Amino acid sequence: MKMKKSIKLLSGLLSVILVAGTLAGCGGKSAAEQSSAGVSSGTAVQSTGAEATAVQSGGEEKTLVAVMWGEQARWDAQKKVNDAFSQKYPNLKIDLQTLPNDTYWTKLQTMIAGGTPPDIAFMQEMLTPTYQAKGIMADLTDYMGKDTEFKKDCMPEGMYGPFTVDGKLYAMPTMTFVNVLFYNKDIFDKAGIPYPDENYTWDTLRDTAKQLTKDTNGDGKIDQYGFSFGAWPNFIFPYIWANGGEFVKDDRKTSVLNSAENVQTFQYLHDLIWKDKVTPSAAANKSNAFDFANGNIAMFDLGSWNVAVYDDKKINYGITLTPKAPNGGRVVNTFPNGWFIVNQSENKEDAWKYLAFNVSEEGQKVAAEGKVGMPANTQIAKSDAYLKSSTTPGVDLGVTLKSAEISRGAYTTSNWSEIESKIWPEFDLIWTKENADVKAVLDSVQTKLQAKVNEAK
Amino acid sequence: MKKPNNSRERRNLLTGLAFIAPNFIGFLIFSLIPVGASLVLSFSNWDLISPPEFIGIGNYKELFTADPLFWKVLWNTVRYCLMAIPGMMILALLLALLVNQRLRGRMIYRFIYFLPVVTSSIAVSIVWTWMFNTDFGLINQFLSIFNVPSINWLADERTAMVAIATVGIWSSAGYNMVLFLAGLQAIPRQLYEACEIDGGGTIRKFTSVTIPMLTPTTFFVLVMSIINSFQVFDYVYMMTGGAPNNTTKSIVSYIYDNGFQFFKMGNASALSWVLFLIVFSLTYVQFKMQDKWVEY
Repeated sequence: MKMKKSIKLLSGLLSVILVAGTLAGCGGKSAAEQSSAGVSSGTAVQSTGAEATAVQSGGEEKTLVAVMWGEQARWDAQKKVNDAFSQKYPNLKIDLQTLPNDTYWTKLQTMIAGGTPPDIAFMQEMLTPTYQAKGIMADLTDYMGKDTEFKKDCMPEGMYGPFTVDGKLYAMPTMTFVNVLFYNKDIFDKAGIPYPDENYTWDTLRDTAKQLTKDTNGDGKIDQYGFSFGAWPNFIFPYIWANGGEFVKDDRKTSVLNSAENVQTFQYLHDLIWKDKVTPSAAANKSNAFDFANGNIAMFDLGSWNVAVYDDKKINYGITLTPKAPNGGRVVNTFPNGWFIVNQSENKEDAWKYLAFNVSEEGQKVAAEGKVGMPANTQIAKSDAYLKSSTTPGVDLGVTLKSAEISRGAYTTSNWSEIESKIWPEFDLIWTKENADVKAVLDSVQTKLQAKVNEAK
Repeated sequence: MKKPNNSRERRNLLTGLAFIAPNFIGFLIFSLIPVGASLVLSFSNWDLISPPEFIGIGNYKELFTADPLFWKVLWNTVRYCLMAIPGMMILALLLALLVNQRLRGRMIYRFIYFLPVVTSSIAVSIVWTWMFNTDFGLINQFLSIFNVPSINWLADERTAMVAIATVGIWSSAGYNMVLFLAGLQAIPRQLYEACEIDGGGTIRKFTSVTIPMLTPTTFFVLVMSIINSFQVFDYVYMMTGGAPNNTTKSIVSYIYDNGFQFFKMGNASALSWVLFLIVFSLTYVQFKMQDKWVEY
């Protein structure tokens, strides 16, 4: 009898432990997340007591949480910037949380919604209207005004543009990328064709590409293409702009997709794939075996972040300006990145110090040497720290400076990700169809695009 | 449940409850409460950050009247089901019949056919994406033997869903095979003997014994296949991302887009409930109809 009772007691105990274990399991996880999200960044509970006094005295150590997407090279460089920052401000540490590009935005939103917001987060120009409208980006104008050490003219005025909404700055641009024409020197040398240069037009690009599109092993299939481009907004826009067209106008309210210029632009790109056959048909395909890194594309219109990538892969490449449109126009896309202070953060003053440090000559030099892109700071962008940062012989990053002078960003709306996901795929009707009626597609997309733009806040 | 009338019974009840508690609490926290919350959220506008705003049936109204993509993804999902479900059931039955034979090394065949079920769908998608590659893919290589011009499988509106359904069939046939195999082995031998005595041949035995006796299994497999196929997501996400022109985007990938790309949680919740109602009604109809064809 006693035995039975103790067995029952034991089983009861066990189940209690199990339940407690389950609960502690979830509780433990969130506690760990909170601590990793920074001692003083999150909830009211955390900022009481010692932490609160630390803020005032400024003497005790504090950890700011920063979240960033990117590649390993960029994160490594940012960590060096953070070390330099902590040397200047010994009581401030940066906990850099790195996230893959595709989960970054989800994680950022759930951190904020879950009450453990980061203090500082990375931003790109196209989504600035979206996140500004959600009220998670702190207005930097006041901090900038109060900081006597900060020099606003350390970078060209135009750098601030993409992060400015209604005249107020919401993120501090730290670097930018531009799209440039990458070319594979080995392919050109083998064919005995001179490297592409700044005089290239859409026509010369196509003609050279024709000479470089080859069936090298004679099996009846092309295994080297002359040219390729990405069918993504950032890489199609420069063609639209260069040819005098526009996607959404600068009022961010009117779409003008089906203009005559745009029909010509899309027709040119379509023909590269289907008529001239110098671009792989799977340009927009996920399983694209043709890739600049595989050495089977002679010229590729790509973002300048690939300098670091192809340096690492030891590809013998060069870069030059993208070709001119028939009207002589040349515009490239700029991909500025910057830091913003999360509105829900309780360490905004300290976060500002971090933002200011990032664009100071000291911080920018460290970043430039780590090949994280073209520094926002004019002095550093023109210094060898940046211009000579590629390890591939002959790669002149001065090209990116020239490109930056003729660069711009797109006029996006607060529902941009929806436009990109719902409207943009309609262009597949151009990229994937040999007999595409470009005008008809653009007419139909124009209607849908305007309707979506009207929905934006 | 009978009301406990003495202390021992009450203790027994408590012990029992304590035993189911871990599972039940887990179910409550990770399933029931979120499901309930999503129903409430489906009547609101919520972007995860600003507080939810109650908008009545606004989300449902938008889906049915103002969102052409909703109808498109619904049709995509139905197309996927129409292609995948017959395929996965017929293939599974054939495989089950095959590995039910007394052939040498049949355990190895069973093992091989079941492998896709336990393989990570991400790995499966990547391998199949390469098989379907236009320029270097195995499938186009194979077809080129018969002078079929190379097909742009995943980027052509006409073939992209076929490709995804093929992967769906390939990866779930093994699981259904095991179910059919169990069903086959539960058929009493004497029924076949009786059929033989009546002069029935192989085909007659299949149509008059195997098929009717398998109907309970077939019913189960059909119901589960429909439920699973309506929720297709991973192959779409990995292989095409919904391209070309959103012709492979399924309901679940649209829910994902709405929730975690556009951060419209209300829309995503409403979509989930619409999907639930579709699957629920289909299952309900099937249970109602089973008297007509399922033999027990």
